[in-house]
Amino acid sequence: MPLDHRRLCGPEESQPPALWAAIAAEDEEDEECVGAAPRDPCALRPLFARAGLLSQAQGSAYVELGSGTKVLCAAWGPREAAEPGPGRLLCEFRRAPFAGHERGPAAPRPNGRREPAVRLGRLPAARLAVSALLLQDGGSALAAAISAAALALADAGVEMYDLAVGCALCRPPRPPPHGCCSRPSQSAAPPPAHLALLPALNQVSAVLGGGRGGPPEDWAQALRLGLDGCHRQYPVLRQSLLRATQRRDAQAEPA
Amino acid sequence: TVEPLEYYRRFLKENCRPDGRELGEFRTTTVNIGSITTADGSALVKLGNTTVICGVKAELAAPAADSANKGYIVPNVELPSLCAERFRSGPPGEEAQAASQFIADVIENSQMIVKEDLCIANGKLAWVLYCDIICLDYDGNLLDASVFALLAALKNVQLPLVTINEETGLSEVNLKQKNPLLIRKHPVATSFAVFDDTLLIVDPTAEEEDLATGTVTIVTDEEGRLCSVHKPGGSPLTGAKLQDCITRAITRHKEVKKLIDKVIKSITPK
Amino acid sequence: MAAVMAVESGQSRLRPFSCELGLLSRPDGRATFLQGVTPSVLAGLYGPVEAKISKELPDRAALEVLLRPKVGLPGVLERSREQLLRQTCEAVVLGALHPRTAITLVLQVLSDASLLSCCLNAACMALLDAGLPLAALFCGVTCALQPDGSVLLDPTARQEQEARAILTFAIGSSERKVLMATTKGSCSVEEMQQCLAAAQGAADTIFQFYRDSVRRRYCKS
Repeated sequence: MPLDHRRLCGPEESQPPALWAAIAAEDEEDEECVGAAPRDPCALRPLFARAGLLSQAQGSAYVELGSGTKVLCAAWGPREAAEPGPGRLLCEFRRAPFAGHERGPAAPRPNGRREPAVRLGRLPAARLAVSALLLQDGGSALAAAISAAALALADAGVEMYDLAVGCALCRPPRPPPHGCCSRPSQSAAPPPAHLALLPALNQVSAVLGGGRGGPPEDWAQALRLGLDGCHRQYPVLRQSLLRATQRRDAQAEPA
Repeated sequence: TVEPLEYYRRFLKENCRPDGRELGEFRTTTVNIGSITTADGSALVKLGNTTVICGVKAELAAPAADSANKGYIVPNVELPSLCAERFRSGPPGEEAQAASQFIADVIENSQMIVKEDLCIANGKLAWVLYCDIICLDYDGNLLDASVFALLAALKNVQLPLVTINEETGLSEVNLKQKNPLLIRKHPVATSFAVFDDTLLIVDPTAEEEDLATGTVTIVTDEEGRLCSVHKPGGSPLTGAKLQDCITRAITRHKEVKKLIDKVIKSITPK
Repeated sequence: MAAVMAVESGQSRLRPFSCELGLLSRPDGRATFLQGVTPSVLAGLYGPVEAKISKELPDRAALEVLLRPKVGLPGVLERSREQLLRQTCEAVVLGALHPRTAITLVLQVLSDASLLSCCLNAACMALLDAGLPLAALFCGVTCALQPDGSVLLDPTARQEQEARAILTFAIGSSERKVLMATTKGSCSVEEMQQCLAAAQGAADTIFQFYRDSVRRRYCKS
């Protein structure tokens, strides 16, 4: 990696301490798993969502899954775009260096461009910007970011078809059923499937799958589980949006 | 407002600000410690709307050849596009870099952490503390919030015990036994904005920073010593005005120290 | 045109310093500032010229400062110093007279020990040489607090390493006010005021030197 001149640099090489404590660490992780394991594979972690909390952004949202995954998202727009054409949605997804168990590369890696879960052709030659920051990664970060981004856009007052909801699935090591939704997957491989749904229209807006292939029935079952997960999260997100609007109204009234 | 500067002047003439504060009054300051469990130490500081999060990650590395008994502290300030519209995504811009350098200077000047304390085995192994400070909501006074977040996060750091096995020469980490870091000094920053070359207002918001003709940041420790007097250009000030700033900074230090002691006490279960 | 002078001030001496105006031929304003014997900082100023649309400011000139280290690429330290220098220059340049233009100041460090005060002095001389309208002059003074508590003006690299604290000020020519201040190491409030007073004392000598060197430059032709 070339030397980064725009950041203060530490030593050329450094290792996380857990590397040196391989045996001890495994013990501990096992214990943790025993404590957390009784979760039903189909159960969702408790979702906490709050909209409209940043003062400088037009719309913002914070989504927390259990107490493991924390995502903050801000949205701006619509603004005039430099180039003509249909409206565009620019997405950015960054990871705080301290989000994972191992320190990420010094530059927070952009985790790929998320396909716009929601978009509208209503605004020609306009630009919407969404930027998400992953503060703590406890699995299903992308799913949380999808939900947060949709919430932030809605909070910014952007016209949308529906609020997109994200859900991540992962397959537990044992073959038969698909474990579902937002299972903390820090030790296992990243969740091999992500799903984004527009619940009111009942339309799937994005499916992202990976990992080793499985029989079609498994995928079908996974999709069903994911859809169910999305539907269950939807009311929570709607509530938080409603609350944010009420807060804003309450603030606006006395003035 | 059409004429923001004139609008502000009207308020300042009456010794108050549009948000209801007096000239020497800070915004409500809150701190939340240990909210990021993936980091070895973390703190979220809010100064009114300004929100800054600091996460500390500790890693092991060999000390540099010319300072065999020293560890590393690597502070970096990030202003992602999320925190305000004017910041672009991509590598840190000038403001973020200047803030990083300022934080590094504060650590060095105040000796809040002595780098020798981070050394585990002379010339072989030392701690590297990566302190990443990310601004989540930029409403002015980044430096005060960053210094506070850094201090609170470092107070929260728990380092696992590392021993060097005599026989094999390899290091062994005991993740179950954790020790807090030794914080020798508690630097606290206080920033001022200069209005119309004469008026000093404390803890400026983003709007006030834009309208002001200069800023001053004073960092003091608990003994009232100056760890940093940072005046990056802007309106000229007399020595007496600087003295006023320092006096205010020393009172601010007491307020912040009280707050941090209270929060630390509330999270330690004893 | 070279000018050399040795100065003495209340508590300690400034090292002899000299400057050369008009060494480079291309820039609109240029200055070399020497502190001690070796050349320290080379400054070149371009402008006011038409600004790029993305950088232009509607009400004043956009000032840009580029600081180049002796070796390697500019890093975080250079960037933060650029900010200090730029905001110091902005405070004296009457930019409102040249709206929507750009002024670029390039500072090339030539010595190993790059003193911020040298950069400040070179910057001010370059501004002078370019004939830009200025509200005031400024000069950079470095003070070192020695372990025994005495104040030393303009320390050498070795003295700097031994010092307990190093304070750098930019002093403006009107009423000797503080334009910029930055510190390294910790000191008490009284010590800071002592250093400031010493710096303000030394400022007069430097301003006199500015005047002399500009006069000599125009005498020759």
